[in-house]
Amino acid sequence: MTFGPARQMIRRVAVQAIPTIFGIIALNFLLLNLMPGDAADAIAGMSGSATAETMEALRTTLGLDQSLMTRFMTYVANVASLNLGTSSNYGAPVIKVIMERLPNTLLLMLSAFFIAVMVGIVLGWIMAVFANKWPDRLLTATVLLLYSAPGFWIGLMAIVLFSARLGWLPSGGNETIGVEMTGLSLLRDRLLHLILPSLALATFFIAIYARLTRAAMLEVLRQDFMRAAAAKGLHPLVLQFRHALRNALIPVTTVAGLHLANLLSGAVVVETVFNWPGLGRLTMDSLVARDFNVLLGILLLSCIVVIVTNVIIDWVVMWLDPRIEI
Amino acid sequence: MILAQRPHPVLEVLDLRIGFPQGTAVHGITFAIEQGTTMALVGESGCGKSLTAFSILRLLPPTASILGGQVVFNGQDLATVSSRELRRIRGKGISIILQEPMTSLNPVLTIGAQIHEIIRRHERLSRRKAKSRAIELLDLVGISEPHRRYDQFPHHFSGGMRQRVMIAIAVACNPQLLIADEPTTALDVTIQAQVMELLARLRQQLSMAMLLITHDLGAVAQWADRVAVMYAGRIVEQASVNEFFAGAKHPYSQGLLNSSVGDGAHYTNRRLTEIKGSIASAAGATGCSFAPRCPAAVAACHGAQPALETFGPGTISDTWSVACSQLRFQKDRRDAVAVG
Amino acid sequence: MVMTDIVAENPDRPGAAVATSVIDAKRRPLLLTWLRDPFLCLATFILIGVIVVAMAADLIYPGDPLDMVAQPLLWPVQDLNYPLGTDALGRDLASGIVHGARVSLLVGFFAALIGLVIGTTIGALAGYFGGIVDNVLVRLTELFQTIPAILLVIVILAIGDPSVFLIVLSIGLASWPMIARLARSQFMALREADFVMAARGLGYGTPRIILREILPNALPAIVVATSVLVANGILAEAGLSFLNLGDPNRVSWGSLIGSGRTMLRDEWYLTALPGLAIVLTVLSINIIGDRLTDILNPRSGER
Repeated sequence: MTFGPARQMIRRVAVQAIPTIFGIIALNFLLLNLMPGDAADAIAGMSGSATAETMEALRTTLGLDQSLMTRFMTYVANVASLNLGTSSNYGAPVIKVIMERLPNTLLLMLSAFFIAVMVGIVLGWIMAVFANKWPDRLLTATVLLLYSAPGFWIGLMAIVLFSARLGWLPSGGNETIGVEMTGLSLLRDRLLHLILPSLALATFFIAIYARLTRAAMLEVLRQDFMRAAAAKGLHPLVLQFRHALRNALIPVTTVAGLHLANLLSGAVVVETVFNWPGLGRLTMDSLVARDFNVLLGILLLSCIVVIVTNVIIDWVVMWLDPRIEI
Repeated sequence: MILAQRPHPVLEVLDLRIGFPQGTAVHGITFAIEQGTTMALVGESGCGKSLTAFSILRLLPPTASILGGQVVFNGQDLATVSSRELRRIRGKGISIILQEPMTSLNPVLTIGAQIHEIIRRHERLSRRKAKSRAIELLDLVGISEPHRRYDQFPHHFSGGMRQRVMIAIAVACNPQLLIADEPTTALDVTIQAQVMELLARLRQQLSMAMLLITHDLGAVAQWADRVAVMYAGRIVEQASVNEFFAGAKHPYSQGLLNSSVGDGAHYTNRRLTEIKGSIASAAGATGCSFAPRCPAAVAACHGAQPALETFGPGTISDTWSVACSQLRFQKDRRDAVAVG
Repeated sequence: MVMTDIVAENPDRPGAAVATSVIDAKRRPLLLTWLRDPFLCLATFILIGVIVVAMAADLIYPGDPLDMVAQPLLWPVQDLNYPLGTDALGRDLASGIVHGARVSLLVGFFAALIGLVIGTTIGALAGYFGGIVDNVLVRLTELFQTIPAILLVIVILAIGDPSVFLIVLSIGLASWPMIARLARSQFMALREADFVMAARGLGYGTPRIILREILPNALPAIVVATSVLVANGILAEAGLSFLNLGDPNRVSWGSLIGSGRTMLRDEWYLTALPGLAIVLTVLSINIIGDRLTDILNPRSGER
């Protein structure tokens, strides 16, 4: 891939993402204004009480008496400079509070995504190759089961089995506390803690990608070019990998991005099950503490994460499908 | 007297039957293709000619299967040979060109890669040699700027050019038999002639035999040596092209000839006569399948399915044969007169 | 009279393909297909059973499921009066599951309904009018698709007072994009159909064309897709009540799992059984939805 087309690609996809980002910011601003009380109330609440005059003065300082449009512009400018306000619960900048936990959630989310895509594609492929025979029927039933169970419940049952009964895997957290570890044993410890949460999160999406891949493969296997390729005397495995799968992956990756928001959604709940130190726990704590700045900050940043990952997936689709003109 | 030994036919199809779970589609057909000749298989849509073509290389759709008969190629029965052996023959001993050029090439691979892979599959050539051979082939089929075109994707090619690429792939390993399943049906009229000329030229150059599946009688007249007419899963007439166009005997063949415009030399003002009715389903009524539409049918025609009978010296596959009860009666009467 | 009747007699015209495929789907013997499929029958029975149990909850287990009625931490079938056991506060699990069915089903169903209405409206308008209307609405759909559902719900709950109504509304708001996309593609395809041209030719107004000509033909696919919405709505409600975001006075399957979590190590049946109830119900809905999709698109499962 030469650099000229790549730059065009990057530009094209990024440009399409900007209106969405702007829309998210606008939505966030709307929600911010719908929140009960405003910043002045929050600050006054923290300091105990305040007189009407102090509140007025506070509002002027915070710029809350200006018009909606001006406030919106200020908000956009703030967001652009990563100023998302201050957390009333932690007394620190929202962006800092979130950034401390975002990597953990990203780790969980991306691990689950990769597991779901890899396992899903393999399962879907097997299902397509054996379409309507017993392996397909068995896997279809299994996949349907995975699609019907809440991820957090699977996580809980997995804890009962693998942690409580068998003792193979830890039941929560993302690391063993109190023990100093480095290098390989640190990696192993982190991985052991990652397995159950990411699997629990991934199960629902394994089902989605498996069904997608099966449908895409069946569609591809019906195509004329598959018969033409078989007529060349190629080995069945070559036909599967080089011809069928490469085509089937295109619709699968195109749709893969649609589920990222749901993945993040599920991560929030799964994190609670496993006491994972990520945005999920932060969200729940902030809800209880009525820390609206943090809540909205999480909403904003989560959407940005989803948009960015979608852009990356769009690039992958462009790379896979030569028919998409750059 | 010493009889000169006839050369072995390239392909012999013997009583081939193909069916779906719902019923039989091809009811036992027999024909042979001699080396270096072109056999045309004609008939309306749905008569089973494409199925026959696919079945030779066992490329049938998943629900169809070969119910019986033999497909003899180089002393092997392709209908029962092992998968491994079959894959050796596909693309090398026998090649096939499909009907729809727009969907016959893999959209995510370069056309160079798609020619390259068949060469590497069957010939012992290095990557570089295979690539240059592929470029030679592109040139052979008339693709300009083959070096540049090698790295392009199918969507950069028109329908006619894609069909040329398919031809290049099909002849890449010098097959003995080339099956062309309606190679020009999906192309513009102006391109059709070019592609057929290319096929004929290559056939001669590489000394291949060809099985041409078509419903275009003009193409048959121009390019084929023998013709077999299929109706509802059966061959109803087989003859050399000259005999056929001079005077086909089966009522269906006559209907086909009458409803086509003419071979270009004799345009007349006569009205095109159509064959009444529509194609019967290949599964089962008693009696001749064509009887419901046949202008010459009599009561006896509805009684039993007529078998293919020869009307000249030789076997069913190399002489004039027709499947029609009426003609059998005539022939029997003639023979009876001759004897008696 | 609907234009589709006229076109059905002339199946050879290009625009007719869309209309007749939908017509065929309706006229196939539905009951026969239903009866021939054992899994489908089982799923239907289970779903109907769950609905009946939910409706009759007060008859089967009168009283409040949150009442402490027995010895705490009884295992299932340990005491046949309490066949599914009791929790740490001595509350009957069976009663909880039966009553919980109501909340879970109602939330799932009504959230799906909201999603259906919003999604169909937006998708229909985008698909039919095209142009700038389409562009704006597609952007809006994409916007909502980038918002993680749970976060949207939590934010809405933070703004207002947590109540079942708000939960239903917010789940609906998070789930309409999928229906909108489907409705949009259906309307885009159907607006080119012959019968629409015929209707326009007769001078029918736009609202009539959308509501009485196109919508009935688009609806089967959309309604079948809504089954997924119901299934996911139940799962979403379970997650929310597991996180204690639901109505604290009402029992739901998710809240049962949540309160059983403290006893996870030993009395794991408290989390397992409500979860199984969820799985059975959602599985049945998914099986029915799948079969209905196969009936609508006969080629989706074949080679």
